[in-house]
Amino acid sequence: MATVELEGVSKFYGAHRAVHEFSLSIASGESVALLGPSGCGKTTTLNMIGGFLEPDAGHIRIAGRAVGGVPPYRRNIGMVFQHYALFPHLTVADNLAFGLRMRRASKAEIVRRVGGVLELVHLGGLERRYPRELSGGQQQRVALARALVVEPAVLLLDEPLSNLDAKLRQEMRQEIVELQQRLGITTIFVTHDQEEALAIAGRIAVMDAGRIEQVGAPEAIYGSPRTEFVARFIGEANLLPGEVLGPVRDGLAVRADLGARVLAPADAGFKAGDRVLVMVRPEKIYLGVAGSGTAENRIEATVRSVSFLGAVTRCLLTAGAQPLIVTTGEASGLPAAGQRAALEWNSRDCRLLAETRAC
Amino acid sequence: MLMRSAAPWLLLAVPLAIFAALFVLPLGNMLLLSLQSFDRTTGATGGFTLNNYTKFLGDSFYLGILWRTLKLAALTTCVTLILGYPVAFHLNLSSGRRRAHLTLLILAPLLISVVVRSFGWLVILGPNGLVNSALRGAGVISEPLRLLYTESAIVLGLTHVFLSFMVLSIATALGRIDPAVVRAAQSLGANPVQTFLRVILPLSLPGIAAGSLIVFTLSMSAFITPVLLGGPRVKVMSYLAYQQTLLLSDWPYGSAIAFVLLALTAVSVLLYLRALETGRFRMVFR
Repeated sequence: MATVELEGVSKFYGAHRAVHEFSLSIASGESVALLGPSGCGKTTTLNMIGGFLEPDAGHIRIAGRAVGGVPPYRRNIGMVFQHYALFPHLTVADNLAFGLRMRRASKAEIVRRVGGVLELVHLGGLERRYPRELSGGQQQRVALARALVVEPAVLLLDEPLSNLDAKLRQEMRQEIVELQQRLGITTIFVTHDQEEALAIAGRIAVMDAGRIEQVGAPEAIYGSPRTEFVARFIGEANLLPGEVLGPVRDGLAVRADLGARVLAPADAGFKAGDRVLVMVRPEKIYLGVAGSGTAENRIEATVRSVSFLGAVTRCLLTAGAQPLIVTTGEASGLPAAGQRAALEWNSRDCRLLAETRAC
Repeated sequence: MLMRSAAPWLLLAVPLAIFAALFVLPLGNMLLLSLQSFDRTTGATGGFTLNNYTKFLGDSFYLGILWRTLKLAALTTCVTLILGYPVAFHLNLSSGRRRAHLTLLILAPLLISVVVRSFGWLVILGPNGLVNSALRGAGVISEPLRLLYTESAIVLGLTHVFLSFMVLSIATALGRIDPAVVRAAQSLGANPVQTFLRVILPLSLPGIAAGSLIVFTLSMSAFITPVLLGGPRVKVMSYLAYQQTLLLSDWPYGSAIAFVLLALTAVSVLLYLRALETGRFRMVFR
């Protein structure tokens, strides 16, 4: 197990900045997700850690050792590829033994370790099969086992679950989390699926346009996004533009553009007159016809649609031109489409973000 | 439903008819001919005899030519494979315009008539040709080397003609390899040589197989190049069949020779395919 450090790492493709001044320290045994939309530089970053690309600037250290110029085959990494990239001409057993043979392990040791890793990923009995004789989920397990069997310093996963169907993805997510925790292996994985990142990673680095937008635990990223991009990319968010009025009691007062006065938690980053976005997650809003009057913030809106989704009910509303989303566990007693409704939330459940776009 | 099941056959009818008329019928006719005896005054005599085949297989002169044909075809296949693989590898690494230009360059020899191409080699390899005069001019040799009318000259000429088939077959197979598989090998600790030997080479076997089959069968039946570069001394099977049929008018024996060549080619190809499909990397061919 090893630490991974990236320090001011940049990569250019011609004039295009694929990764810009990327710095991140990953502790030994930690599991970190690089999350972002396609083209945000997350795969490029992973490939630089793996040694398939050399950074144009900055340094990467694995287990304290600078790996600049070190080819992938000397980095002691384990990598799982998006389309698994199993060797089609080799059996499952030979696929798993490949890395051990490259490391000149003895025959007895190969047999022992391949047997062990087959157990680990529940693939016992399939060692004689060829990759194309396996299902997608089985191939995924072989790919994971092949990367783990060499006991790499770092495990790199490139969109590992994107080719599985929804149910299998859930299962594999759980398995990866358990394996990662059991083996305590430093893991870096790339995904564009925020749910996957939230479920698997101990820490998430949200990326956009080659830069890190925010790094933090899943709860922090979801609960306290620091930028509008993060708020929009992770989960759903209501973003109300407004202007800071000034400090009141234990928070900041904001005049929302749609007319209401909103109370937000104190934030040293903003002063009176600043343009801001008030962010509230859809499940933090109480929706009622009359309103309860217990929460600090209240706005009125017109219900556009109500969709029952099983565990939750999702309501789309508008207040003037401002679209709003509310999700609630209650399935009954909700206002119907076309009705006016009151939306209420506590000040501690909203966050202020700097307004990045001109309105 | 009837229309649907009949449609493929209707579409195939014309090519099938042409194939039957121009290939199957003459071949059947030749087979019958090869089983007749021959008289210098009356020609083919009809009847049924295996004499032509026993004559061929019982004569060390003819068997020697059969062996040489097989040997030259196998050699040509090996040489095109060894020379062609690096070219195909390079071709596969390039892309866009460069790839198109390289492909054109590789196909260039096929744009010239096989006769003209072989005459080119006559000029280069002859006693007063390019190679000999250059070597003599440099003082390396005093007497001209005998380069022409040798087995090597035939292999050289055939390689020149058939190299492009080998290169394109292998390049196609290399192009089908998932680049991620190569990176997977590297991530598992395989250096470039190990990656090539354990992953790229086995996965390019279908291209090697296809290229080898094309070059081998074409070399077995090649006529103009061996005749021009091998001359009357270094005969191959195709020339033997030509000589018996057209120069000596012994059609039955010429047909028998052609059938021996056909049988040998077919058996070689089948054995080769069988070896590949039951071999260690049989999965690559599925």
